[in-house]
Amino acid sequence: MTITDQPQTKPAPTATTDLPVRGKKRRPHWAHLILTPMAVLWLIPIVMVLGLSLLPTSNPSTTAYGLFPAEPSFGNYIEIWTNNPILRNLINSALITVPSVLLVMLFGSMTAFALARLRVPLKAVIFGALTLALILPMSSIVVSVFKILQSMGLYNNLLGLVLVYTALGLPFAVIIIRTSFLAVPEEMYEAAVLDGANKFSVYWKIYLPLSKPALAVVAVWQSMSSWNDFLLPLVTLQDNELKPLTLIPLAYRGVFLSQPGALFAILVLISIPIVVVFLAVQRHLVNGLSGAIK
Amino acid sequence: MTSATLARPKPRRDWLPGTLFLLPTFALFALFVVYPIVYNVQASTLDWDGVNVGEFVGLGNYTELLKDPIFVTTLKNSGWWILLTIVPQALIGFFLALLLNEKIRGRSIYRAIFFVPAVLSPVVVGIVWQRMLDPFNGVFAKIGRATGLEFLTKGYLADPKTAIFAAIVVNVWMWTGFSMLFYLAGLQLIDDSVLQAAKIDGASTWKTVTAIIWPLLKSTHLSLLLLGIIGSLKTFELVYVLTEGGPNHASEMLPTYTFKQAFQLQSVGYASTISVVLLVIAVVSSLSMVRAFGSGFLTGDDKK
Amino acid sequence: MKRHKTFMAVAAATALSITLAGCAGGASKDESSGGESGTSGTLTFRSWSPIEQTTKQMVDTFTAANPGSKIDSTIFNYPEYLVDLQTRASSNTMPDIIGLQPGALTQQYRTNLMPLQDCASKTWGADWQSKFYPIGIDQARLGNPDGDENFYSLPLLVQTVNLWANTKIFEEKNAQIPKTWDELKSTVDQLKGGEYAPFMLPAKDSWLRNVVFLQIANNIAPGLPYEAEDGTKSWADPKLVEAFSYWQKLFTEKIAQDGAIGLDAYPSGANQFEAGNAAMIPLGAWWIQQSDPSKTGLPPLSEGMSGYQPFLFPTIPGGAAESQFVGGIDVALGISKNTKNPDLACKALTDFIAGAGAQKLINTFNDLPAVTGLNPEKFTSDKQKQIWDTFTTDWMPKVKYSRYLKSPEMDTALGDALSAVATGQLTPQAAAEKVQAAQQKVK
Repeated sequence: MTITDQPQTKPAPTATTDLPVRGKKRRPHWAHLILTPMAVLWLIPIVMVLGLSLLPTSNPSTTAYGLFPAEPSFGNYIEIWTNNPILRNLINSALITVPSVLLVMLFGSMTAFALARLRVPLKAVIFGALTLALILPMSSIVVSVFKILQSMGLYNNLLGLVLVYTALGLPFAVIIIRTSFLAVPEEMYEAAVLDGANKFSVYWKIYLPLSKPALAVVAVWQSMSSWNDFLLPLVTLQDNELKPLTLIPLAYRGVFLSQPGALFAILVLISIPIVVVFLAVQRHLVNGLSGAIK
Repeated sequence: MTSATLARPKPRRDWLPGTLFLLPTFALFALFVVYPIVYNVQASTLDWDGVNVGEFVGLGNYTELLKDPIFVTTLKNSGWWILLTIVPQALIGFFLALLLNEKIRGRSIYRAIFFVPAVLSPVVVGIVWQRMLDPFNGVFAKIGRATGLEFLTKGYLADPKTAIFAAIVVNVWMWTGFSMLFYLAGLQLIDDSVLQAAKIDGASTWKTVTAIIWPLLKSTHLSLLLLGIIGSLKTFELVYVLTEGGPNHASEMLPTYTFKQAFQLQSVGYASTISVVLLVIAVVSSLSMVRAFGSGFLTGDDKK
Repeated sequence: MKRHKTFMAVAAATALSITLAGCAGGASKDESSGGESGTSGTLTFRSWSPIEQTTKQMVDTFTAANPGSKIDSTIFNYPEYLVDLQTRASSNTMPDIIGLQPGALTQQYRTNLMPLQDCASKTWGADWQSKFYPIGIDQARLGNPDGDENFYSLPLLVQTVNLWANTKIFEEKNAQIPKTWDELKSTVDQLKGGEYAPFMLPAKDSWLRNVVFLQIANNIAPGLPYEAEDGTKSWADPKLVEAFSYWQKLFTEKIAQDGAIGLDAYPSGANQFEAGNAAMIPLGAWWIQQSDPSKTGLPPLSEGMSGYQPFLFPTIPGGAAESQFVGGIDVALGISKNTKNPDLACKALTDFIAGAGAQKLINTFNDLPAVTGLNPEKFTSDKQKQIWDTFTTDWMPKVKYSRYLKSPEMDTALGDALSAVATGQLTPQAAAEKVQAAQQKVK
């Protein structure tokens, strides 16, 4: 996959008819003078993460101020690949993450629409309740959530995880999507209602497409949180066939973090799909609302 | 100003459609948010190890918590954390978003570089930064000794006076890219005609940014503020891996302390008490945001 | 009206979820344990130790010898293990076999655990206790209520806590392994100035601070910390204050490297020691696992233990004439009271401790076996064998003093006090008094 900037992926109308001012004065080269040093600074720890994942057990010495192995090798990656059913785990992780991202985007935007444009009782109370869900740390609720899943017959079931992650991800989605709904001129809503459109189709056909940047942010966030959590799958899943990717590193953290190289390798692997998601959706963060509305 | 900011009287509408839109969220909340809270509140009234039968102690855990010096430390640390993560993350993130909203070469790569730390497991981040900050053999100390920059050679994580701030620096590194993402999304909501008008009026870039773009991003700032406060209050894994809340609880946060109480000290009742207090603090902060910034921030009714 | 409806809906859903799931504060109900018996069936095993690859070998060996049996094992790190265990114990999904630490952890789950002495005597005969190192038997019942003589867990692996030297560095510098505090100081001075730390103290972890302190304290006044714990002596006893001040000297006299209190033992400290960046480090017998012959690609220092030598914490002036042995159980195993298959669970547990499974475990040099006379089938060097023999025949039988305190509160209080002394927040006297204050709250 190439990670180049491709302006042609922009929808043609925005690119041609309504080119923004800041687009026109192209290539502000001076920005590189700031961005490059910052990027280097940001990269140092990342290089070290990659370096440690390439650190062979046979030679724990490092070079470049300890950032990189003296003798880099892919041994750790080979080891985790051969010792774990990575593909099976990857599919399970996807089966948890994808539905929860879709559900959060759907339910979150519905709630956001209701809060932004519909008449709902006790908006402030609802919003306060949302804050509650944001703050709940997994380790404080894992026991009670487990009991609920158990009583719903969802112990040892991926659907249970999807529902919990959806519930916990909703507040974030609502806050972010609502912000972008509020930026859509209310006249559009009223005009559509006057034209006889029902509320659901206004939401679905007008608001949802306009909030793409916000949905992109929500998709990234929700992918990150459902992809990375390990406490809940650890406790609620029993069968090895159901286990997601995040449970592998726990074994490598095992007694005394016995294999730091393998741990880093698996954690790097786990991060890659999220980086891919980010690269995919960040393309939606280029089209101004202004172009889309007109 | 955009047309969205024009206030209009709302026609009377029925509550039913709104409620239907909220239904799925309600259902999930009742199950996975309300019940755990009730459970925690109930557990907070017990002297309980989480396994054997608990003993009712009423508000005993709460009175004990108020006398607990470590609890005071966690509150202080949360305060620092809120202040020193939200502001730098917002400023740097905003700045990066501005630059990376332009069509410059390698834009996607820059965006990815700044964002990647947020994707990494806190375990990896904690271990790597602990190594980098190690005054004996870490990369900063080595560079510091090579260049004579004395301040790089200090053991910031090992000093109770600085540990929390070192953790905050790591957190800023980790999450600034996320603020950038937010501001990028926010920038997409700004009507270009506004910027065009400013340009025609001959406004300088600085003026455009500070007087037009920054204020127009108000809802982004507020969302980030809210998420920042809550994110700070619930910081757990990074601190746990980086310092384990140490030295001597100097960098303890509410969730790390909760975790230690519940699972290392077998005091689930006391831990639940801390969780409940955490919830109360979060709700109070979000409600005070409503007061400070107007209820429009929450309900969207009042657009000023 | 509608508002009312919404409220009702929320309230109803809440009420429903609560009745469904039950409340906090109760103990899990006993479930009748019907089902299969004998030696076929499925067991679940969860623990933080031994490491996963080793556990797999043990499980495979056992299931091969017991056709029809299956063991689902899950190994993961300790903090998450505690969360998992607590959740499962409170909701009737406790694994059949679990890893335990002696003392507080075993006691917390005591009511969910099956007494194991019958299983032990059935398997090993009436004098089964003599198979084990004495400290393991002592600690297995640590914290039992008065009159309760049951074994709720049996030790799987035991260990000493001690220091390790990098012999390559010692040879290069022609230095001697220190036997007394003064020798420790002069050796550290001699080794200073190199690329390595003379005495690497990875003191971020409270368990490490505590074991180093217990080695110092027992060398000053053997057994005194445990008397302080029982309330017969005080933590503010001058001898224990002295122990705190020797701990302090590790920092004030620059014996430990800079930033010691911020460095974790695993992975950072261990990794640096293995890379040759430290001449001495306080760890324990389990360090021999670095030379596990089943692992490929060992670093040169670890190959056959060629670069390491264990030694005891130096004696302290005015203290005991000889260094004392401190150690105890690394990991113990217990069986859930509600297991559907107690016979098979007993068979698996005893196999892991002293049977074919144990042999697999010990072959990896994971730590020292809890039973005597069990040795790896293959040594990769004479030095490795010599170190192994030192541990199993010279040191382990002599271990009298526990590396743990009984209660987790005291473990935490001691760890905190040591941290405060190391960073200069408390004087040794004040730290000792603080620990004593915590002790009075516990009892």
